[in-house]
Amino acid sequence: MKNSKKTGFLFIALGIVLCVSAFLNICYGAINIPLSETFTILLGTAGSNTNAYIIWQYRLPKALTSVLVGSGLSLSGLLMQTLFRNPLAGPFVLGISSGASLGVAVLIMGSALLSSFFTFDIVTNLGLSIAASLGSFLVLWCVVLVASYVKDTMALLIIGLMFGSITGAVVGILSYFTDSEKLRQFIFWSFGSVGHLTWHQLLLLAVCVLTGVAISCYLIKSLNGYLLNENYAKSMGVHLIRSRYLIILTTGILAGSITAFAGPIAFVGLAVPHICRQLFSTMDHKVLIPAVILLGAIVLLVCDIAAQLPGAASVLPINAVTCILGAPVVIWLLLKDRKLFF
Amino acid sequence: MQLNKSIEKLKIETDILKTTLLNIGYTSKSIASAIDMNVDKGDMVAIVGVNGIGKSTLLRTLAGFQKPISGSITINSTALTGYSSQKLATIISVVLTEPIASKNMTVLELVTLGRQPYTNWIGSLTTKDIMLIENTIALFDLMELQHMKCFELSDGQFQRALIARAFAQDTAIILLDEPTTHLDLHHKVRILKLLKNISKKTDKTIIYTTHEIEMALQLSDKLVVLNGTDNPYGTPDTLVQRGVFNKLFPSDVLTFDNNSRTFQIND
Repeated sequence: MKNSKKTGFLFIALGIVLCVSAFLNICYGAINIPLSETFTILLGTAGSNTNAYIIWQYRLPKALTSVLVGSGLSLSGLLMQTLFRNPLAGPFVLGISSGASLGVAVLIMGSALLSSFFTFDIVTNLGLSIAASLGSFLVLWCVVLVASYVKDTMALLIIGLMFGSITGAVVGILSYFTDSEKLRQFIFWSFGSVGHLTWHQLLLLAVCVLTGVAISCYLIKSLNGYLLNENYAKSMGVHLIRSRYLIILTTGILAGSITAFAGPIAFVGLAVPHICRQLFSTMDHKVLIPAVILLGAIVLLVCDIAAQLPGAASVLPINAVTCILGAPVVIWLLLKDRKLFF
Repeated sequence: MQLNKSIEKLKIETDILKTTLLNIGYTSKSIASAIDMNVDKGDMVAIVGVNGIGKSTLLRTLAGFQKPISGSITINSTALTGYSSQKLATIISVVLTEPIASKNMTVLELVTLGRQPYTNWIGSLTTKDIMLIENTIALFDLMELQHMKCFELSDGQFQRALIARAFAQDTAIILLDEPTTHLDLHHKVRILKLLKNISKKTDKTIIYTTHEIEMALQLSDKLVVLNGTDNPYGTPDTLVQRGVFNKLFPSDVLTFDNNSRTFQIND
């Protein structure tokens, strides 16, 4: 029972850190807005018009996007690691991000070839989101189709990786034949970004992420069963086929929608579940699911703060920051315990 | 004659698990056929035979992991296929040879997983669950180990923890696939005696595969001998009398001594 006390304490601590990092994330930016003013603006009182506009139309959506992206990616990483019983699995092992890349590559680079047919610019934020979702759902659909033929989960993992290779190769071919301006645009998308979401897009992303969280909570017992292995899970009453489809679908909804709106953000989904397992010293998904949601949100908020170069208007690519800040943490965890607990 | 018939009838009713003309294997290849077992409540039954003869396949078929090619399996007079996986989880629990995915859980967490078929959608434990888990931990002598992680345990301790998880599932039947492999003689005997104790004390039916034929003869109530032909099933005494074990291995290597019920190595 000492453990449950520690768990409760950790959850409270994570909750506080989340609130603080969210507030700091909103305060911090290219334009200096004093802490007290940020606070009053958030409360809906006073504040200068420009600053209020910056906070309500740019920084608050950006912070909320970070929260949704961080928690969603971490949660789908946890689901994939448990389903594939593999500590190296992440939200993108089934080729979801490569599918999204393909969609975006086709849109950006393909539109150049067909530009004479379009009188308007289709490479907008919304266009990118739609292309990325179409791409990731195309790959996900292939994976689900294959999953109904292949009984072995490990084979499914490898097939997912193969899909990723194929789409990667197609993207490579497209890049080879495209001009540098379009290529630049594509590379910028692949850096990932949590800014630039409108409130409407944010609402859509929130619905997708919350749906994913809800299904994951429904799956808690099945996921715990998977910790032994599939046959044990079955012997404990877990409906194997249904739970496998649900896990794949949930990951698709989470990682697919996030990649569509924020680009392929690496690392968070892989690392956060590991950090949570070490932190809470448990494998129980009843604890791990809320834990990865909280920590994932914190990690992305902090990375987004770090991406904001002090005193400059430019922002570092979030994808690079998550790796530079996150990888040493995982290495440190490994060195500390000399073993990756899974 | 009339009496015999009514005894026979009574016996059928106490059968918890019964197989008739069971043919197991895969659609492309039958592995063993004509397996007839009728297992009583509280029996300890060993499945023996040479490597590759189908011991694990039989166990997996009984657990419902794979379908029989033909023949029937009934549990409490209802066909195995008639149970939902949720319901079956309250009747049969398993201990398998396959490695578990995560050894990064404590013995207590592992044993607690056994309560899954009974808990609500989020897996909360009731006081009854907690009491049963505590009793199981005590029964399997795991008190000192309960907060240790599974990867810290020795093979024998880990096997005990796995069996405890199956026991905590509180099923009438426990199926175990080679529970004594990788253990030294002392731990082999310890595990088998523990199983025997459980079956007698708690009236649970235990079916296990093993290579330890001599020990199985001493400790089991019934044996299934998979020999590739008629696959006899019965008590140790009848099987020994029928000379089933004399033909199990090539006679130029091993002979079975009916008196000591041991195998002798031939020169």
